[in-house]
Amino acid sequence: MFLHRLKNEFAENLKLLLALWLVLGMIVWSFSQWWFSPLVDRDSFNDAISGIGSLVLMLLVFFLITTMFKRDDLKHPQDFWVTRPIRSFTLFGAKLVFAWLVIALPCAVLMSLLGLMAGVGFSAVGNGLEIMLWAGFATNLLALSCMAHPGNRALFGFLCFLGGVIIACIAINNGPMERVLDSRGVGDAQMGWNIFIMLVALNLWFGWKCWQLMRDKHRDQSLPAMVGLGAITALLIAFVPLPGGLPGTIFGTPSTLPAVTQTKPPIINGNTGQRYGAKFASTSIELESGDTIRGDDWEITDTDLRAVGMDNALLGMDTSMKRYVDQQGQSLKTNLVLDFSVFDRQPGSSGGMSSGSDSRKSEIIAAIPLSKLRIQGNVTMNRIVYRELARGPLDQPFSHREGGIVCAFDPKPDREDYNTSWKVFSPPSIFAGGSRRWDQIRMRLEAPSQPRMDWTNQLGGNSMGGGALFGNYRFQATRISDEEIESDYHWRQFKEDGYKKSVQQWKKEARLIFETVERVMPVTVPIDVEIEVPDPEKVRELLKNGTL
Amino acid sequence: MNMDTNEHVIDVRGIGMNFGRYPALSGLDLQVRLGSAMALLGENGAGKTTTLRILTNIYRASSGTGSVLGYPLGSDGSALFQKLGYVSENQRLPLRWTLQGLVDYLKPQYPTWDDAFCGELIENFELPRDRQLGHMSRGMQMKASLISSLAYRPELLLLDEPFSGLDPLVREELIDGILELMDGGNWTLLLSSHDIHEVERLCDAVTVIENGSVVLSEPLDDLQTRFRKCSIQLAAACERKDFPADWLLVERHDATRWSFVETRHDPAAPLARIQEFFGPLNAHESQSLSLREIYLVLAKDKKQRRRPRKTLAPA
Repeated sequence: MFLHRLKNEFAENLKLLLALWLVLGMIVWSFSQWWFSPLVDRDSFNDAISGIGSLVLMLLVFFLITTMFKRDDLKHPQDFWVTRPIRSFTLFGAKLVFAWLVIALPCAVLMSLLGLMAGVGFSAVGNGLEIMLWAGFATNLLALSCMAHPGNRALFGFLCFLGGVIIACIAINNGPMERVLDSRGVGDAQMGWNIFIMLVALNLWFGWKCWQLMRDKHRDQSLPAMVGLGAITALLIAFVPLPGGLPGTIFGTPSTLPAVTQTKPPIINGNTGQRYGAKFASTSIELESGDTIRGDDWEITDTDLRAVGMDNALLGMDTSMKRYVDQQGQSLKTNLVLDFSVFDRQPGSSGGMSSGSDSRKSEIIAAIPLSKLRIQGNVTMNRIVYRELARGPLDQPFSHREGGIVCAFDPKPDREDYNTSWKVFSPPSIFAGGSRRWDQIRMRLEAPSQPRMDWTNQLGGNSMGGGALFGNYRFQATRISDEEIESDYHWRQFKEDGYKKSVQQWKKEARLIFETVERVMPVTVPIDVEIEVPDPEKVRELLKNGTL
Repeated sequence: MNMDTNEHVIDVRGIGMNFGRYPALSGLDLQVRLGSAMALLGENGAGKTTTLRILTNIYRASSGTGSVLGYPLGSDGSALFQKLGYVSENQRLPLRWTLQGLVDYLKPQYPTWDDAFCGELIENFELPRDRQLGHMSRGMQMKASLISSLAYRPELLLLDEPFSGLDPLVREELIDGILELMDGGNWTLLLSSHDIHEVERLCDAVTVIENGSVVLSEPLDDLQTRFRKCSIQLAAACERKDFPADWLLVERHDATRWSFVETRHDPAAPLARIQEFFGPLNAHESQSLSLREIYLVLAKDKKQRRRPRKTLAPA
């Protein structure tokens, strides 16, 4: 009987299924067309086609599942099957199995297949697993929504649940969750596990509800309460940080590196204008790693600093960060900029500083003796270590294929321009914590005799480039002309090089290098430094009364 | 499960069911014997459809026990539905299917499916096999529904307002079809309908439901025997008002002429209770009632009982 039902579902949904499989086939075909061609002639893989393909696939799947469950209104007392010798288990079970086997599984297999074709290896199965988890969640939810009676309850429940999941996903991938994690020293990369576990939990929860329904077709389902609990489950899981990332991902264990700290003399700023808070001094602390950082990159993520002794709310310190990069785009050091302000009333209340604008005050402030102030706290950043994938001269084409990444370089001497492209097949997003690998490819130009003359990411950022995102894979292509390279060369290096080499000579020596992120090391830099600034209390007195 | 003719195909007792705060059934008892054709009568909202839905396990009774075809109420029902046919005016057929598609789908689910019988029914009802149910008229859909519920020769057939909204010709065809079937086998029928004339043709027993309870349930012949309309002329005026509770619609036309409906008429001693109450009679006339008339008497009586009894008294 189960097979009879399954066969019936198949016959009834044949047209939609064929459409679905056609779309899947087109995706495989289009993927194979450009993935296995090392050099992509087109400037960009068609964004519109790839986007529409993904959208059509998603809509088709949702429409198919909804239609299938809605067709036999499982809970409606007037449906003819209710008084037929058809068990709920058979009817509903056949639909679930159909949704999983004929709709979700082909999508999952497709994504795994694409991963295998891309060379990701066995871990490509993870992509399929992710799809199956999402499909299971969507199927169960849609099934229960379709069965809930009346319809407005179903809609309400569906929206409640969707809201919960969206909030949970935002919490996982954005601010609120990061703040929780930061305090525990856990990187957001680990949050992939939260999404994974959330999906598994939701599948179990809704699966259990579906099982109950299958067992008893007369049981009333209270969908709003059910999905409400599901949403709470999702939120709870979202806010439970799970330590430790998935082995093999690019994310490492949080570590602390020593920092060289340095104070700079304060810049006195008395010309404040009419404002609520009057900034009177600015200084900075410079952070510099003791390690050789050439080739690495720094990404500042957060600061948490306080000025010990400035407990008066009328005295304030703002921090900002500035990352210094050299002409090649490499991070060398980071400055923490500290701005000191005084206020004429409690922060939060309205009104302006009554002292007005008076440039003479800067001289008076400068005359105030400097007092010592201790700055304590932490600065967190990511140290990103790159690994070279391939390199080659600018006059020869080359390509490189490695575990889900294809890089290609195609100079066009007749047109005096250069095509570069890379294609990336990302690992499952739930394991990568939302940090997909397509963000982690860069290109450099380097001349061996002039090691400082390497340009990072200049080609990648070129406006002539284009890219396409399609499911879990990404294509990026750029085109740069001789003229642009030469212009860049002159602008950056000609003077420093003492005009010893012509641009043509440099281009002969230069190598194009493709690199990928090898690991990201979260770094926490403890700050405990004494600086000198004009005594804030005295500055406030000056600005308020006009005299000391 | 085999049953002999003395057994009840349907035997439920004390059935209760609420929709929210509103009671739909309260302590309903119903017994239907094998081979009988029972009609369920009652006003709109009396509880007929709810009763049928409880019998088919669509609804779960909040109280009471019983069995249908030997299967306890509330049981899984798959085995029950292989022996039970259910046709309802509100039933939602899979309109996207053709009649043949419906037949093909249902056939494997019934071990007793009779292809020849099914073909005969389709032929008799003159239904096109290849037309989608959604493209059929309401009458044709009802016929299709009936075919799909008869082709496996169910032991019990439940019909919930099957003639509602059908034109007289289709209604006639359906009734004739059911009558033919009833002749051909030992089937049990439970029919809920407002169409008393059709019920009278089809059924041999009647159950009247009022406010979720059964007010009477018995064979039609017995019912027609004990319900008699009496018109009497007394020898002397009578002022008594304490009429027996089983006399309904008592009317006084003048000082000596009365009429009423006797509900416990005894053919062996037809005048005994009347004379006992009123005294000697000058004239007496007693006539039997059709089912329709009996139903109307009960309905009118119910209506009168909602008002003070004094309105029955002559002006």
